[in-house]
Amino acid sequence: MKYICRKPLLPSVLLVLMIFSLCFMTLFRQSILDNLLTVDKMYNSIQLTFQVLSGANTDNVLQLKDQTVTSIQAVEGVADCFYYLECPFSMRAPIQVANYSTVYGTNDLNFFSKERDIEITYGDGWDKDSVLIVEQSGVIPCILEVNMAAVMGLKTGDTFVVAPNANEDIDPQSAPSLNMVVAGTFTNNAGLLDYYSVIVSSDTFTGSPGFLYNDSMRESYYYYRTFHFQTNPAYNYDFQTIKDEVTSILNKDGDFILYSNVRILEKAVRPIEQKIRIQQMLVTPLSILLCISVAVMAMLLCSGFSTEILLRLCLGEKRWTVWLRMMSSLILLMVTEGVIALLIVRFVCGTQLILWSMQYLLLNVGLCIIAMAIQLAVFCNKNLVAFYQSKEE
Amino acid sequence: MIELVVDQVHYQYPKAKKETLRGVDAVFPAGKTSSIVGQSGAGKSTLLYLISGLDVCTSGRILLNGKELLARDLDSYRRNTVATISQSYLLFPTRTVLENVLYPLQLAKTEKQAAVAEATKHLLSVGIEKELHNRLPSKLSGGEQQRVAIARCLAAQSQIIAADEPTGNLDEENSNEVMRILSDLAHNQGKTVIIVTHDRILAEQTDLQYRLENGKLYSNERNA
Repeated sequence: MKYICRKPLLPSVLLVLMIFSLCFMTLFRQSILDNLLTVDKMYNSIQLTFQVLSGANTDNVLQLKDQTVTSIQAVEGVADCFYYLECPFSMRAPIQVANYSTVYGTNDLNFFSKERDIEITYGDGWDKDSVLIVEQSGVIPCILEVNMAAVMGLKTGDTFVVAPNANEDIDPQSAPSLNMVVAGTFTNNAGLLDYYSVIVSSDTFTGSPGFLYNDSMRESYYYYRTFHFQTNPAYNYDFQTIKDEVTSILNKDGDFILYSNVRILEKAVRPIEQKIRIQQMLVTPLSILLCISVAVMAMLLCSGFSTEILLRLCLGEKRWTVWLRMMSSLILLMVTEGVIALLIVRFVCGTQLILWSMQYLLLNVGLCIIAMAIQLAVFCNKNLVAFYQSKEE
Repeated sequence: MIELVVDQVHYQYPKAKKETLRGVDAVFPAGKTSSIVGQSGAGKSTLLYLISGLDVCTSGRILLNGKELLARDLDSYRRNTVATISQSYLLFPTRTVLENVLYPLQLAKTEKQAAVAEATKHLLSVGIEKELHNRLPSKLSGGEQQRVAIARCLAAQSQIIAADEPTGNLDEENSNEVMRILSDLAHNQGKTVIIVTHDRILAEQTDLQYRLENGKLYSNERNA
């Protein structure tokens, strides 16, 4: 080995090449892992929202059955749902209003206010969650249009009575009265809700007391007019499966379209996923190329010792002894350089991929040793006359 | 002391169309210097390669004190019997002068201290002073390198010295010095010295002269 180190140029170049190869591949691999992590984070952080819309062959009003909604909610990966129902009602007190208006039952007031472009002001002691709770007293909290409340002389905490009946064939007086309490008011920004609209919890549609108090009412009005759902981000990788399953459920109910914001996810991850695919395609050929380069350098190093080999053979040393002793020195050199390269890579790239680096280094060193063994065997088995003449020239 | 006899030796290089040596006969006695001269490409070096044990002849025999040199004995022959000197000196470039001369002693498994002492002795005997012993060959002059090569031959205790153009790269003074050493090895130590050269003046200094022409050897004997 000391004789090898007396000609340090080629061993140094080999070491530099080995360090470069190891550093490059480690950083390349790190880049792939970082990109995979980024994609993973994106999948886990982006909230996918789906919306059910009426199909092309129906009118614009969504009429989604309760059992369909229940089936959708049961699909694995579906997390939160946001919806509202609606049905007509008439005001009984404090003012008997002849015209019928609409009561909206929702499970999320923030969602509803965005959907219908209104601004809700809650009364003291009320918030978006407490308004949706009906106490045992049976008084239903509600949100009134601000001007209507003023005209009727109603303020937060006041009660009034409505009749949950809008069927022309049924005597309005036969419908049960429902006691409401004013929990807040809303401002109608886009004019999407009429003046006499009342907003309540969707539970009050089917519960008792409830707006859909008989089969006829339920048959007419128990439909979801808007239905959105969000998936658990952990299921984002399987969003297509969820989409297919929900579509299948919807198709049994009628003509519906399922719309989602998955394009946002796709737009974000697609470029990175493409980059990852390219990088993964390149890993193997790059590894091979770099390993071969290092192996070729190792063979050049061996070639630099051809004179030494020739002399030893000319001086009578046995061929296999020359091969064995040279290989021992070169293996020691390769192992030493490998350890140095690994230490430098550890310093440059950190310890995260140290195991992978070691595997790659083993491959590199192994290939070099095989290449050198073959090269040395070729030299040691050369015809001495030809070998001698080539050196003399 | 070894008398080397070349008996009807033929040699053809692989892939060559004709033989380089076509029935060479020669006797190289112990204790004498012999030279082989001839034009370039005549086959002088080829004959020397066979004498040096680098290859076996296509046909014919090489006899050492009457015993035929066989292919299986070549490694041992090169290790123990013959030493080769070349115009390119053939020294290990990454070993010091002393390490170069130590090499045959290490092959013979000589004890380290004794080997160093013997190597030093041989180097001094050919005029290589101690301050040069730890230098690499590239730091020496041509004449000094050739003398180191000769010292290595002495360390190997070879009875046959095969010298291929030993003064080819040397000036007159160094050439004369090398020839003096080779002559001393033959006449005073009884070694068989065979010199290949194209220099007729140098060849005339040897005890026996051979001329190689058209693959055959012709002798010009003169008294020693």
